Amino acid sequence: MAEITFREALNQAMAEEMERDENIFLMGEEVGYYQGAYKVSQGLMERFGTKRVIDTPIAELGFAGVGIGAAMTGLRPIIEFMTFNFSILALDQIFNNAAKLRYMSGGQIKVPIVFRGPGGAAHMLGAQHSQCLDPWFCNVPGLIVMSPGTPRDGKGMLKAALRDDNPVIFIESEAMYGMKGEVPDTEYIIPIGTGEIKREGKDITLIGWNKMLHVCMEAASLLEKEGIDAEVIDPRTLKPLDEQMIITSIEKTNRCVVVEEGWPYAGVGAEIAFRINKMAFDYLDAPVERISGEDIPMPYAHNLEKEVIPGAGKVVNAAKRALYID
Amino acid sequence: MAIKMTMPKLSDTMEEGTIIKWLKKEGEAIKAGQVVAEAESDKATMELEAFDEGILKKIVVPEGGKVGVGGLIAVIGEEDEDISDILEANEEDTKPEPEKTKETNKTETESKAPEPPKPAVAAPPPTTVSPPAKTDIKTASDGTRLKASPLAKKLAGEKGVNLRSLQGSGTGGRIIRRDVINFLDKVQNSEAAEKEPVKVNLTTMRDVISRRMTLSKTTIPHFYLTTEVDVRKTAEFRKALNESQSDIKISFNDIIVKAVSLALKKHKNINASFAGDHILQHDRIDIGVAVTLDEGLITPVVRNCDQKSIGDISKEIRSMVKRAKERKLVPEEYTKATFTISNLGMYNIEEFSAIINPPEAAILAVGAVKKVPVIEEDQISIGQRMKLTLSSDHRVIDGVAAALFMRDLKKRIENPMAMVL
Repeated sequence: MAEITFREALNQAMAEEMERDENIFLMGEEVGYYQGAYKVSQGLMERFGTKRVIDTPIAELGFAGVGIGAAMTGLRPIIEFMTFNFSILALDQIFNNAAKLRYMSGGQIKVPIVFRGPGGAAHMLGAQHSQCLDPWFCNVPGLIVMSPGTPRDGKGMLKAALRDDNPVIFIESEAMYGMKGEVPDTEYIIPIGTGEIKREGKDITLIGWNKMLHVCMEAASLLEKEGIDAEVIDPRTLKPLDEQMIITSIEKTNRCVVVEEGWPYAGVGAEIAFRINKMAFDYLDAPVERISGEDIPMPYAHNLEKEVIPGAGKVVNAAKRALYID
Repeated sequence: MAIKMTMPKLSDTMEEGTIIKWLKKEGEAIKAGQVVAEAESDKATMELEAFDEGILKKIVVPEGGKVGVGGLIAVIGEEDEDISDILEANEEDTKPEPEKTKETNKTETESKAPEPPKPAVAAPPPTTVSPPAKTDIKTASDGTRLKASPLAKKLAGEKGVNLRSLQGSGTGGRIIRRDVINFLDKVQNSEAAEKEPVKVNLTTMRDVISRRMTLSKTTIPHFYLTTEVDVRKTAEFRKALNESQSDIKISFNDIIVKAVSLALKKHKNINASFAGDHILQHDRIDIGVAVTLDEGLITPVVRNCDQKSIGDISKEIRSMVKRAKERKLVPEEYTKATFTISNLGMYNIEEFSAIINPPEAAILAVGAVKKVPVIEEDQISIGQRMKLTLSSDHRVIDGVAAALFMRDLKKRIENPMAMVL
């Protein structure tokens, strides 16, 4: 197994799938000649040519729409948003066309498209460029939402996304592109809707994805020092959710902290907490705890930004509340 | 407000309880947590604690009285509070069953007595494990919502734990899993405790025995000599004696008492007491005979055995044993022996070592008469043997002196005819 960066893993996924299926093409801002704003598409234009790796103007609504149109006619586009903050401009195309056409055409028109790019906060990019929009996409019927937390998951999940006939929102992280991790040398697919237990434990379940997976892992290490054996699980696909894995874990630990980077109101964590409450009610020994980003636009100041983004300390405290430890 | 004290469920199988003792009188002040009475279930006697403070207004169930679990046993209230309502309601409740059924049938909903409130008494530790009623899960006894985590409720339901008997340790008093688990552990422990040894208080006699025997074994340097006695002739002698007269029945022990007294007369150093800086040799030969009683043992003393016939000794022992069992002996009859004989032969004990009864200097342990093969003149025949073990106080008696006494005693028992001379 080779140790590669997150961006290399994503790059491999796209290259391998483009090699396998000539209908797949990549389109977005600076994905071609500049090799990607974060170098995720490095080498792809050289390898697959300008017809399959296309630089677009700064016009998200436009190229998202072009992508959807291409998907409707049989191609399988990858639309890269430089960050998902810019996808807000393209939401009409995503919500109203990508998500709905298969339904509204009675199944006659498929939209096999992947919108990918980094989501959430990076580092001091200001309020407008530091937003976690996971719940927005999850709220719209017709979209699959995936958010990997490791290079291995990124590659396997992106390949699954590219092989699916439905529109997939694939949310990466700017802060994790340089993260290294072991990735299998042989081909593998991580199916949509499958989560993974990242750390086995018996006392409490910590649920986190994307960057928050690592916050949960750090919290689990801190809890371990206090004799608390936390289980960390990563749903990986936010919609459809791997309910079975979550419920099984809660049945074991009887307690849970859901951690998400986004804002608290109507967050994905709220949905997960509800499902636990609904399906594992008799197994709960404490209310499900939630940790989210603070309910404010992201401050630019570094110290304040750090306070707004969930950290391991907050997760540890929430875990202790759920364990009735003062 | 007046508070009812009711009979708690002290064990799983308890249906009614008996008030053994009231530790408080009517009119006395009671503090919460104070033990006010002792009650007996089918299994044990437990202390009943008051949950609330107030005046013990009325004892409803007197000492020795029985009442069903949950039944009113007393009322606690303010000094000048009128509790007649409660007492009347209680009388109504305890009316014979058929009458009550009739009444409730007539006006079912109206005449139904209100649910009895939570018992005002608790038996530590609580062991009320029973399938909880539906209402237990939702409400506490005082009508407030009972807070328990879903898991705690599920667990309690599975294990048959009444959540009302738990104290919640979670946020805001919420009952959580660990509360149920701790409770189950406690119940298990208390069940285990029931299997522990039963505590038996020392009777006065037991107390005396324990102290005297400890004193003896810790202060007297004991040594032991055992000899085997051929009792063939003794048995014949005894048979002849018993056949000669119908009003007495001489035992082996009677003969031994007589033989010992004669041997002691000769060996005055055995019939003695250690007295710190000197030894007392007794002129009188008063032999204590250990008699077992239900609660211990006692040694009635036959005075001046050397001067009495075997028949007299036998009669005296018989009479004293009878009175000892009736606990009618007076102290003069069981104190101041100069030597003691303990016989476990009737329990088929072959031999044993006895503990000296201070201030005596020796004690003789008599074993059972056994038929054994003996070789006499190269012939195997059936003989009768008995083992005697002398425990001696080495401060008074040396080994040889004790051996000489035993040799003398053996000779006397083996040739019993000499005793009637």
